[in-house]
Amino acid sequence: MSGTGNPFNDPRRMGSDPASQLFEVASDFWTRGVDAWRSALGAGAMPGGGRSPFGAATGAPDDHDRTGEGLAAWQAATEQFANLAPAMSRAWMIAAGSTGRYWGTIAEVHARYQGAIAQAAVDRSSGQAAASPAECRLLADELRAYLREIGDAALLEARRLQTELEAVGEEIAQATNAASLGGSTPDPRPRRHRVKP
Amino acid sequence: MSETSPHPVSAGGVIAALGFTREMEILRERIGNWTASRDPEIRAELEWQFLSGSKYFRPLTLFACYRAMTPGPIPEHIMTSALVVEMFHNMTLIVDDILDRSDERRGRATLHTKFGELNALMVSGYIVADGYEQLGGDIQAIGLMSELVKRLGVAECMQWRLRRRKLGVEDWRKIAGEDTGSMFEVCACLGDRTGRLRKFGALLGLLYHGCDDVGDVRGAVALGGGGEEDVRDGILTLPAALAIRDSRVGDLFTKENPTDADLAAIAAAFARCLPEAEAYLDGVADEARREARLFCPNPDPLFAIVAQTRKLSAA
Repeated sequence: MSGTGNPFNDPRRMGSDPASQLFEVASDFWTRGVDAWRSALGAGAMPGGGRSPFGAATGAPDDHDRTGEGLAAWQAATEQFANLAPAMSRAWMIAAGSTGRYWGTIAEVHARYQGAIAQAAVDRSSGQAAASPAECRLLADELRAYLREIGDAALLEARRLQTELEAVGEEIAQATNAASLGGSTPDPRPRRHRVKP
Repeated sequence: MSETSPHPVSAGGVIAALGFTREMEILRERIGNWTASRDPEIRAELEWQFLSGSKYFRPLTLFACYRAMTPGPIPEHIMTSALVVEMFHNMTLIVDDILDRSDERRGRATLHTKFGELNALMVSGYIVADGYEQLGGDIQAIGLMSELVKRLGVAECMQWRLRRRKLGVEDWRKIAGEDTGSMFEVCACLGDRTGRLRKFGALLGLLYHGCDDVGDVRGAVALGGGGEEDVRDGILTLPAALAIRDSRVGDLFTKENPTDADLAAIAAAFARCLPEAEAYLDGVADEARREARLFCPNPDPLFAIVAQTRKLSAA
């Protein structure tokens, strides 16, 4: 990304602090996105044709047909949005479930090691180490296991979430692909790669 | 990396349990063709090393990981990866046997005992070089095998540096994870080629290493000893990590020159920790099964290999 199209390279922003710059860039992207959707839908609905958000060409040879085809494209786009909505709510459900599961695991790990954690806290507050070097080593080993399991829980949940969201993403891609081909026409060049469940 | 104790898990039993009889026939044929077509100067050494009753756990892991992700027959590039994994594994065995001064492996003379150290060392280098050549243009496999050789080298140095020290189960986990763990991790990656089963492979390797540690103690206890080579060298096995929590055992374990009575006391302490070690390994097996359940469409082959690996600790 370079030149005037790239908000990060906008000379007007060079003087501001990084946080405001980031905020401005984000707002810019949002505005541009909304404009793009508006113009795409508008173009689809208006005589003169254009492109539906998912790439279905709507240009027509004469003005009479253009209005009808534009409307059809607009309807197709809205229908596709409607079709995608359940997938997106499922994605949100997955994300929410993942968050719950993650905190549940953390609580379970914490409960298992609470003895060691409490001991470490008592030692710290009393300014004394555990009773003997052997006990101290055992405590250190347990705390290390606790930290490893906390880290493992985060990684596991992140990978699990990624896998589940990829599957939803793939569903959306397949649905969009089918919709852009009109639903009934077999795809002459089907996607060769699919996300593994 | 030692696999010196007699285990109740036979090669044929594991292969049949996993349903890869045909694939293993093909692999054995590939190994046979490979050894037969090498330079006559070292052919006898290669045949001695490779045709000697391996359990083929690593190629089986690779096949199981492939099958867990993709239905259908094992393709050629996966078969080649399995061949190369077995080659690299044998390289590590040769080096291990030289370092451990082991006279026997799998019930027969080790390579250096039969052919001398120079030949054994040269053969180990030859195997690695030829392994890379076998992989041809499979860049992903080349990268993974390079990762493996580097990690194994580091793990061996780490394991030796940390011997005879009062360390914990977490230290054992780190050593085992880099040693046997890295081997199975790479097998899993070679089998599934997406990276999704990397963690599964690491856990399976950890399980294998731990079961081997426990099996060594069990086998040696049955013979009146207690995993003697590892005890003598002060290697941190899973039973050792658990036993040296007791400071008296820890003191014996860290002795530079332990007496026979010390070694016997250490062995007895290791044996007392076996139930705890088994429980720990059950936990690792559960973790591996969870990975399989969550990250692949057909976890059955992975469940089967976890079950077979878990049996390695039995007396």
